[in-house]
Amino acid sequence: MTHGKGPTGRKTDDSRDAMQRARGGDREAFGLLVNNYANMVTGLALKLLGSREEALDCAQDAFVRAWEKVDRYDDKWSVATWLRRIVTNLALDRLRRRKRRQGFPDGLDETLGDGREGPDEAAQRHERAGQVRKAIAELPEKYKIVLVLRDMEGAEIAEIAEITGTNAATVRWRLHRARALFRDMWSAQSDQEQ
Amino acid sequence: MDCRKSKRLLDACVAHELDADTAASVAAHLETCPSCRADEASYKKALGALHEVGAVTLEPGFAFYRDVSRRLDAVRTTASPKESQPVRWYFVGSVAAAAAAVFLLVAYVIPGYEPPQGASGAPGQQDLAVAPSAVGVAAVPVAYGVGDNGGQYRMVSDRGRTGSVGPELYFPRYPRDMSGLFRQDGYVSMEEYRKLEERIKTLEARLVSLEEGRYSDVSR
Repeated sequence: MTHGKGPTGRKTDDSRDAMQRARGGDREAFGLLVNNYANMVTGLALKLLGSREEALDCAQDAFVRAWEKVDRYDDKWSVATWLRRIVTNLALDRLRRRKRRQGFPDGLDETLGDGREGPDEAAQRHERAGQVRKAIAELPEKYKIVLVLRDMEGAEIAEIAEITGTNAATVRWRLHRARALFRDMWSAQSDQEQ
Repeated sequence: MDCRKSKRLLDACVAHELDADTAASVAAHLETCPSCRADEASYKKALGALHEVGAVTLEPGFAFYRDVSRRLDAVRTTASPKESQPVRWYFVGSVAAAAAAVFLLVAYVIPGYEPPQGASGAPGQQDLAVAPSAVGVAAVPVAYGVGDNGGQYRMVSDRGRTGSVGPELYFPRYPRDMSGLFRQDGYVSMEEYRKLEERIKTLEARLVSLEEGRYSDVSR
């Protein structure tokens, strides 16, 4: 498995530079960050929320929040980590509000892709991804976050600890539990299909 | 390694998160334990499904970017200039223009003084923003203000801030030159004016010799 699917070193350097300028009020520099991280932020929101429309709204909210609070960026962490933390918190807020209002949304969308693959292939992937997200949605919040961040987003343990406000040992334990729960659900789902 | 310990480590083993020695211990146990091998297989399937979910790709022209941009333009940000370099303050206009401002201060503001020929109407006493041609510095955007306490001078920083300082800071090296420009009764005769003009020229020449950045000591 390949972890660390995040930004490359070059991109990280560029982003840090853009962030420095953004902190000085450079709106254009912040626009570069939006371009660089729109896919990552929206993808994470989609994985946590499972709904295309909500994910897009959440991603927008995340960038707006980031721009509003840009002076709070701590350059001890990468820009990606900072944005992930923001979008994770916003997604959690949405999940909690949703939990109070209704259940898991229908009409899951698989990706917001460009449609280059064939219709059968896309449909299969769409369906499978929908199943994955549905299973993830069943997980308790604290397990869902670590599973998505680690096994779908490739975040490092320390980064997840920072995002979730915990420590590495807690993250490892939650990750172990999350994987075990997801495996059980996935196995049960596979058994049902057969 | 027993089954209990193996099962605790299986997910990390499948995710390649174990160190080499521990991974080897787990692998050795798996060789002999069908139950743990079955667990390993189920973890591989589950984690494989997670990895299969593709990354999101927003197309460049997607409305998302336009919508975000619109919202960003509308919000108030906490961004502020975090200067790694000291702020540099400048006269509004050039150094020569600043000297001209001193001249104009004398020429227009002192009560009873008759402006020289060719000058346009006298500006008011507060917050002047003038660029007349009275001393041949035509159309220079000099901005300065005259306060109740004897004079406040507008300055602008290289980061776009504006501020004002009194003459003691504006002309830190020439306090006597400034104090000597005014009479107690506020009246200046033409003869005195010519003398002042000479002093102004001297002052201007000395000011011009300074670089604008030399005034950074009045910042903050």
